[in-house]
Amino acid sequence: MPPRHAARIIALFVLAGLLCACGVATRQAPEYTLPETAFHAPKSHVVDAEAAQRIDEQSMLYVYDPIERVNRRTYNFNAMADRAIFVPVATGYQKAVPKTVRTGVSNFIGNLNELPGLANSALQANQNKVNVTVIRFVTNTVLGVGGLFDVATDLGFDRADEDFGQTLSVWGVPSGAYVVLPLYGPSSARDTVGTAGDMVFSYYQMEYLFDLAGVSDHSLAGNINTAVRAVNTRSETPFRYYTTDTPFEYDVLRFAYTKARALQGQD
Amino acid sequence: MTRRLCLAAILLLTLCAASAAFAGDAPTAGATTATAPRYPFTNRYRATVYGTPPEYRYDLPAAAAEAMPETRSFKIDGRRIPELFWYCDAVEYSVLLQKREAPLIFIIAGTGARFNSSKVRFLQQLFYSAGFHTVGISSPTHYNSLVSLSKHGISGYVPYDVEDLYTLLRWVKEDVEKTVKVSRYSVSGYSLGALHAAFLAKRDEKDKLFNFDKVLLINPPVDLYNSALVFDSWISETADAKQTPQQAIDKFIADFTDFYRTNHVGRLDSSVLYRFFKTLDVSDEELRQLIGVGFRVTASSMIFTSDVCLKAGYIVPADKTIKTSEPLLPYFTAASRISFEQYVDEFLLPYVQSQETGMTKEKLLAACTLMGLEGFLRSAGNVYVIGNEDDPILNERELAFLKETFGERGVFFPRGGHCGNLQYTGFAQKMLELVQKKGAR
Repeated sequence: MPPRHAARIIALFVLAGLLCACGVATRQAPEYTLPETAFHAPKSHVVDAEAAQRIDEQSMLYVYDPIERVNRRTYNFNAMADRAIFVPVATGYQKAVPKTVRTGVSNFIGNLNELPGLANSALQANQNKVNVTVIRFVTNTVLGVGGLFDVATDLGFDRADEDFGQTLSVWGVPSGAYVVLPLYGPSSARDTVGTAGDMVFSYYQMEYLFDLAGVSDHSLAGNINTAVRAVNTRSETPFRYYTTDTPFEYDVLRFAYTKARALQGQD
Repeated sequence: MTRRLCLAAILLLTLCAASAAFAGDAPTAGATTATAPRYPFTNRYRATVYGTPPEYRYDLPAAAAEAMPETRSFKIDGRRIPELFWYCDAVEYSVLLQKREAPLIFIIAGTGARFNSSKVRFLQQLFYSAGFHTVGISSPTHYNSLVSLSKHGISGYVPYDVEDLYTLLRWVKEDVEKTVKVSRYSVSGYSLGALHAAFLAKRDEKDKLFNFDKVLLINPPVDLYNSALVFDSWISETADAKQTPQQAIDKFIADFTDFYRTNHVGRLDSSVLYRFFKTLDVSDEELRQLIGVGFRVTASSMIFTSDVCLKAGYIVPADKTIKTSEPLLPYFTAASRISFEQYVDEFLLPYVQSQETGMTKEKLLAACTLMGLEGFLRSAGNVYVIGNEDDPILNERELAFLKETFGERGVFFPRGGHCGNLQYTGFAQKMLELVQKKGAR
């Protein structure tokens, strides 16, 4: 996606976010302002500055994360952008658009994504997944009215959902360092390459489909495609930043992401 | 992306073993069963960790099962929020309101749980289905409450926690009454939230803001400190265990990996997880360790947050301001080594002593137990308790205390562990019966 398009889409989201944003009520309660106190714990288990810098490989939650400081900044940026823009837009979408239509949109996008999934299953030389993906694509395109209905899942063919990151994993590429991508979220060095690969595939796929459909303004169609996919993904993802009941959310999510991807690489 | 995050979320749930494994799913509506099958887990630890499998859950009416509580929030003007916690500067709670005048029930979450935890949401939908306005309230032990609300920035001393809750409930009352009519107020809570509910009822005798109609304690501890010590004993290094808690968790994750690989799991949902649990060969010791670790993780969050709020120099150097970009894992590690007993002796008690002259450990602990409320609980005809005889956080003496003190106002199921059968049909029906009892006062 050319940067100019990205900028336009972001501007659009900011605008929509501002429209949805609502103020938070305030309470006057002078005794609840948490003034600083002179209290010090008499016994301390203080982690000194040096120890805090040391990588804690013994920890239950340890994950290789050499650019943690950058990642944490990106994580916070993502959380802010999510709260200010994406969540309000997704919530607005859920309120404004009936569930049946949203499901149709989601199924349609899911059906388009079977093609990159098929390519990845093939690259992984996984016959089983190739079969499932072909069955799903044909069934949903024909019986599911161009992919608006997910008939295949009802018939017991669950999506294989293979991405290029998993393909690289099958090829023996290690996951490498943990990376938090701007706006996109948790990833790894390998999965970043994978995501880029999937994006390129998707770009050419959509260009081809636009040609097929006789769309003259590819740039406009591309923008709409990106925006719809973004809104759809966000409204389908239940995760909300900073709601996991722990101030160590970054660490927990990093651990869970890494474990989950390792699992997916084995299925 | 979606699936990845769902997977991550499910892994999180399985890791936080203290929360029931099926927590992620909203209860489904469907045909009601005339005769409820017995709750399936006879083992108290299994019940506590696994919760209620989908087919044993109470069938909420469709309207209630689909009703989603709305999150509301407010900020306290001029409150100091540490830089690290920029994201939780507002006190949040959830409301699910009837369209017309109705009674309102508050639901206080358990240890470390948020206002929108799956248990709170289930209780909100359950009581909503019986015609209540319902309000979900985070536990004062949740780190968000410490940052955004707590007067002292510390939690675990019940009188302080209850004072914060009472203030919050008053503000919520003012807010809700702007839009709907409330005929009368009730309060309820599960686990530690149940203990808080009892103290709130007692607290209201002074100000009489709510004149609570019903007070329902669901799986309360009798003594916060005792129960915490029980959890800690399950993961203590001196425990006569075949393996360490870390090994228990590693084994759990390895088992899950095996299950995932050999079963070609297409979709991960609660029925898959239940299948996983059925295949799982875990000992009582391992289950206890998982519960104990879950509690320890919760306590670590609380201790770290409190230390940052108070700049007390307990695990973070007092003169240090943690930036949002700094690694936190070393602090998590340090906090997770601290037992609840240490927390009380080294941090909570000294803090309370700095506020109240003549405070001792005995006085502090006595202020945090239901036994201290015995007279009130005996005479209060509107306070009910519902729980399980095999609840692992209660010892024999505490169970006997509850049964004896509440008499006919107590309902105890033979099995269900700690909150394991909260969504079980028989348990839910009984809760509805208790909050709807007429003429108790």
